[in-house]
Amino acid sequence: MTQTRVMKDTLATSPRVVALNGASLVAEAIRQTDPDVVAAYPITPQTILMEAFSQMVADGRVRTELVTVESEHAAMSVLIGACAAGARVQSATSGAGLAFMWELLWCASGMRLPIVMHLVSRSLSAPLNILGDHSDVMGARDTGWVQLFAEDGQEAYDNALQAVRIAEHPEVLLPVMSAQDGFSISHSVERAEVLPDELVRSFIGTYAPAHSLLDIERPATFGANDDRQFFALHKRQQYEAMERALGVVSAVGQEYGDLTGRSYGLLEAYRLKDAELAVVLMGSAAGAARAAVDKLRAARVPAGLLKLRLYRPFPAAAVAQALAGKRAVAALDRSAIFGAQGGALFLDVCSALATHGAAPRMLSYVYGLGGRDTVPSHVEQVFRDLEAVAREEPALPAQRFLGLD
Amino acid sequence: MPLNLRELSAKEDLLAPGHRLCAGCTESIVVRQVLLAIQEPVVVACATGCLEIGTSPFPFTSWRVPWIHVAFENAAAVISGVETAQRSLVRQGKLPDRPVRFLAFGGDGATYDIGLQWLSGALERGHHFTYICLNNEAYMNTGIQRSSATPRGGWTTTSPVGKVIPGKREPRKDITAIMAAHNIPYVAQATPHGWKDLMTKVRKAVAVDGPSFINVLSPCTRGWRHELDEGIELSKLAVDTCIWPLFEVESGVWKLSHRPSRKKPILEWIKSQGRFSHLLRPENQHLVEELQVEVDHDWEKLLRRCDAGGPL
Amino acid sequence: MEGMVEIRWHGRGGQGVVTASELLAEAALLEGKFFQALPEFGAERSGAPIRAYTRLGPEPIQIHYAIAEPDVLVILDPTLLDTPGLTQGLKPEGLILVNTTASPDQVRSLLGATAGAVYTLDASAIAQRAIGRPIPNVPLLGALLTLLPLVALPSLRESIQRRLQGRLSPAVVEGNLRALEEGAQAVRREQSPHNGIPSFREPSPAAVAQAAPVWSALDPGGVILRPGSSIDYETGSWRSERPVINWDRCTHCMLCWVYCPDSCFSVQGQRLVDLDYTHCKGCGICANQCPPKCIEMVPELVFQEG
Repeated sequence: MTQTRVMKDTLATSPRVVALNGASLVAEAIRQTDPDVVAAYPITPQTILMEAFSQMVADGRVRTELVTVESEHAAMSVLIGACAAGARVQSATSGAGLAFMWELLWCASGMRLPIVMHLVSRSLSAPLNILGDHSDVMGARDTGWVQLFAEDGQEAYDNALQAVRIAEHPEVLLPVMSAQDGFSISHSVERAEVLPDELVRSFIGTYAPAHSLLDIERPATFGANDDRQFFALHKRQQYEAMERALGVVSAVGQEYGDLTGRSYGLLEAYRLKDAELAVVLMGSAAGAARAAVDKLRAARVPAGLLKLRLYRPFPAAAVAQALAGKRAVAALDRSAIFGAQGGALFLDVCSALATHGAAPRMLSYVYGLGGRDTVPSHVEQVFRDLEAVAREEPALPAQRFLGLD
Repeated sequence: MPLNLRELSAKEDLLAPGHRLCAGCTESIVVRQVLLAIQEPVVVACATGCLEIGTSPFPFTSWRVPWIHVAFENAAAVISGVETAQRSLVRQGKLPDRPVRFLAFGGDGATYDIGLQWLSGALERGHHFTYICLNNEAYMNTGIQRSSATPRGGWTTTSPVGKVIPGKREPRKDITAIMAAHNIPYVAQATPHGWKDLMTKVRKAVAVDGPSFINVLSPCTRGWRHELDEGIELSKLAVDTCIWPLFEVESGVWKLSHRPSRKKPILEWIKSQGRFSHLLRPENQHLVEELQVEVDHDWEKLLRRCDAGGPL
Repeated sequence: MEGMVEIRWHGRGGQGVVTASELLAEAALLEGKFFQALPEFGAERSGAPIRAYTRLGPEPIQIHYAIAEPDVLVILDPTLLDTPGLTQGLKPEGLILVNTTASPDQVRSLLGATAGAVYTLDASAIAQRAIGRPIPNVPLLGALLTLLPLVALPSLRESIQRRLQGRLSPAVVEGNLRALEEGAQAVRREQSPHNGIPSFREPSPAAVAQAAPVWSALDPGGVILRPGSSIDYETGSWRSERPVINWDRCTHCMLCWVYCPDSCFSVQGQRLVDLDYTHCKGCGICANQCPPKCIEMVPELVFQEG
């Protein structure tokens, strides 16, 4: 690690306060969780994460076997094999790397393998763009992975540790994708608290899978083929595991809070309770949104923010409860999906509200594509639009592009 | 245990019957021979294909060894993950240190075509595993489509015999030489007819310190259009016509395993299978002649490579 | 739908099951009727039992699923007759057409007191004579159209011509047309009509519900924890010829054992002792490779007919 480390306390049992970027914080989290196998392929902006981790391996600071594969598809293939062999495994990727893994994302979740993947999210080509947005992670939203979003390096670190517990929970047994925004988090050096190694070790515990390829005396067959009778049954079962992840994510977030003072739920509401107008988003733009809320509140605009931490499984009931009684709600998507009536997050929020009997006016925005910054005035504009539709003024276009329209 | 059938017959068959491979399929014969040859515990990864589909229709499995299938193209990467897990867990004291052999099976589609990158990567990384290609010279699992292992002139459903094109126009890829060019410790070609040759090669392959590759010709009744009982016989004819020479490359040294006492003409090979029947028409006679020239050329090249590596 | 006829075909890979259902569909097209030919695919390979479905009707057919209650069952392979559930769902007034050398009454006793009227035809022999290969689909079509005028025979002749011409030699196309006519003439009816009692071989709805797996009871991720469990799946019915060993001449060289694709030869104390007919698919590699030629391939029907 090249970043300056500021030690708050020299005792190994106390947290260290550090100045690190998001990528390095997650590299540190991987080191502390000490996976048996890591397989990865370098891609911008994930590269600095894997470089930092490779150095840890080279310096003997982890026991991990690092497999430097020839592609992301191979990285996921190696992890599926290693995980089925009873190893605790992790990877990291970005953008096109995740897209290349897409086929295997379904294999990993369908085989119920608790693989942890750190995502430094990036746009998808074309045009080629190496910068941050959520196109990659949203493209994998239906692949059966639990998906966590971080707002800053601290959350990325905390999520990385909790991801191991969520994935391996016997009620879940699903792969987990822990995302941080490319560059704006991955490359931003910020203050963060890093747990002592011992505490991480006791928090994540040991991994004891029920079946393993290396259990030679009890030969198991992994990845069999299903006929029309069994396929639907296995998918039905997988659906149930995903539903159970909701409770497990909450419980693990609570337990983590008891250990560290930083509790995590499924979502985070900011000045939302008495708000009439609400913005919903995920990731690093939450700070700009909070600033916009504060400014509008000062001007007596009843604005509030809902930041989602968990996107898959979608915490529909919690979202509906948090947004109950709002007059107008805008969902802000950091990815463009084409041909739908709004962004992916927007559609999820709409369905959550509709199935829970709430019917505020809804607006859909796309923001921050390919590394564009999102500033408070952008979010203020969203609230102005919400005010307008709440007053029943003429409807706005189904899809708006923040800062472009 | 010596490689003697009576001795071997005392060993448990690690591939159970009740699989759904076609009657007369040679793939399961090869798999049985491979598993009989290996004396240590094995873990198998299988590419998508006939073998995978036929041996693992849930809730049934024919495998009596740990087995995994993930996708079509990545069996080599998957087994390299299993092997890495073993190395990691043993080194950390989480698993007892015992010799385990890691095998990957893939058809020619999985090996020559869609999985070449994954295989090449795993060989370069030096994982300790043996990759066995069950080469039936086309995509048989999906119903006989051409692969880069399909011989020139061969009929398949995507290289059909038509009014203007007489089957596949391109010669097959020499994947065995490509594997040897990775400078891995052991590469070989074999057939199920030569069970002793195959089993000897398998034992050498799993014993080397690093990756190894064996390309096994596996006749297919459906795709090659031959009778159900002819698979073994044809795998011998392939060797006798020098269509499929038996050789090995040990630490870079090429060695011929068998020199046919009389090299049979390619016409015998062509006559033996329906996939070549159009080549017997008078207008295609020049193709037969060209194929003979190709086989002769490849055979001479192999002999030169083997001579350069030392006497037989 | 009023006037719709549903046909379920049972045969083995390679017997022309799918082709038969498609030929009928094409004939219906020529007559301006509505139709659907739907094959059923599984993990099975050549020689394994397969099914196909044909629907014919006076109006467009908008449903797309397997036929559970057929009007007609066509059995292309006599070795399938003892398959459990073969006649499942057949309508009481339905029709069963079987390719076999046996008489309809013999088939009736094999099937049990099933519903439907039984008809038989030695379609394999007709095809063997007509085209040199025992592919029973076309003679059976001829018989079927005699029993049930779904389409006119000339329409089917035309659909055969359209499909085969250019692909096969004129002699084979002609042979198929002859096979169609012969099939139409050679079909045999039952002497004593059935009494319409449903088959005792058919599993009760309660038994079916009990046997149906439940998602919550499966191990996560589709893992299979019973190594070698495919031994419970019997592939012996795929066989049309059976290897019979002349033990007097067997030298116990074990080549049959090492070349068997289905691990069917059992060995004790370095001697061959048995052959597993519950799994043997009858490929004949053992007979082909046996050095003293002590294995003979005997047609399975010889055993079925006692």
